[in-house]
Amino acid sequence: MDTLDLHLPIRAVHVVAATLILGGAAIVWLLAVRTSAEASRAQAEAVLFAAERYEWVFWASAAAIVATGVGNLGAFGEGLPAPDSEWGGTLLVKLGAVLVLLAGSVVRTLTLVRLLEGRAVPGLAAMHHLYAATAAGALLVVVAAEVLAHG
Amino acid sequence: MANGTASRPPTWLGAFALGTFHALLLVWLFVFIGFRGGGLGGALSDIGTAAGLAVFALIWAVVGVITYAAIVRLPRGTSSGFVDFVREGMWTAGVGGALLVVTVAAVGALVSPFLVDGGFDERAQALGVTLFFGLVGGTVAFLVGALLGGALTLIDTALLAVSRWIAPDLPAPSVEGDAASEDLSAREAIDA
Repeated sequence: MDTLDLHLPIRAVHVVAATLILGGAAIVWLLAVRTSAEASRAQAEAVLFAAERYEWVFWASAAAIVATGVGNLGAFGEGLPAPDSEWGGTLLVKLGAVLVLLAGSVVRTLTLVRLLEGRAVPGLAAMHHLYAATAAGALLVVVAAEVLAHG
Repeated sequence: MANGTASRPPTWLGAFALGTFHALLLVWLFVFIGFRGGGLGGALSDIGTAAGLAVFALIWAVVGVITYAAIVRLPRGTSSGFVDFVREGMWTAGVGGALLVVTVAAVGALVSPFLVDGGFDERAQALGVTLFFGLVGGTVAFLVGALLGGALTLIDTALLAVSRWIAPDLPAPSVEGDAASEDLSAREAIDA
């Protein structure tokens, strides 16, 4: 299978992964923010259930999106614009946003893991902020990607 | 659902997340340095899509396994110290990197005599060269792995500190209350 054959599936995986990361964070954030005040045990469990599942999806999607994103850059070949061009500047902004999103997501996942293990002071208030930040960061990356693709 | 929330031990989730983060960080560094320095497009184009994806999968798997090995070596249920984290990160990544190279060299040593045309001397020479590069490569891989492992562990430690600032650690359980405290889950605590 040559590069041309892989082009469409790679784009599809890239877009689906971005959708899962952004949409999933927004859903968990909405669940957590509605549950944080006077939550019953069942409601809190439902949020933690969704959050734990989201973490698996997030990291798998992050790996897929980075792998396919590098593949998309490779498709430019020698025609990849220089870093001091307008396009290159946007790519650097996107790379910076990706780095912050990944580092922030480690904080989010570690916080959830410590919460699930009963090692952290419990509470959903901090968690909904983390998922809101994830959704905002993912949205920034998506906007940068759109600018790169369509100018 | 109440008892099914944590169907996998959370350690698996933490290891999966950290392993993936480490792999993505290494790829991110490659892309960033390559793009800033120029030549990224040509390099990626030379590698090719399918081979690039295979290399990524290999990096993800190797880094993931090494990260998991480092995590399980840390004592569970206690707050490990900073030095413990860095030491385990450096040692496990160093050994992991060396094992990878030595394994590849060992496989090469097994097959290289059969890939060389010629007599006993030529085949023995191919075997010797492969073993020599395995030895040197393994040593270099240990040093590079330890360096990367130490750097990644420092980053992990900083991110863990941020997590502890957001959601502080619960006080350590008393000896008498250990059994009950082991069963304390986040859900029960939230309910309290």
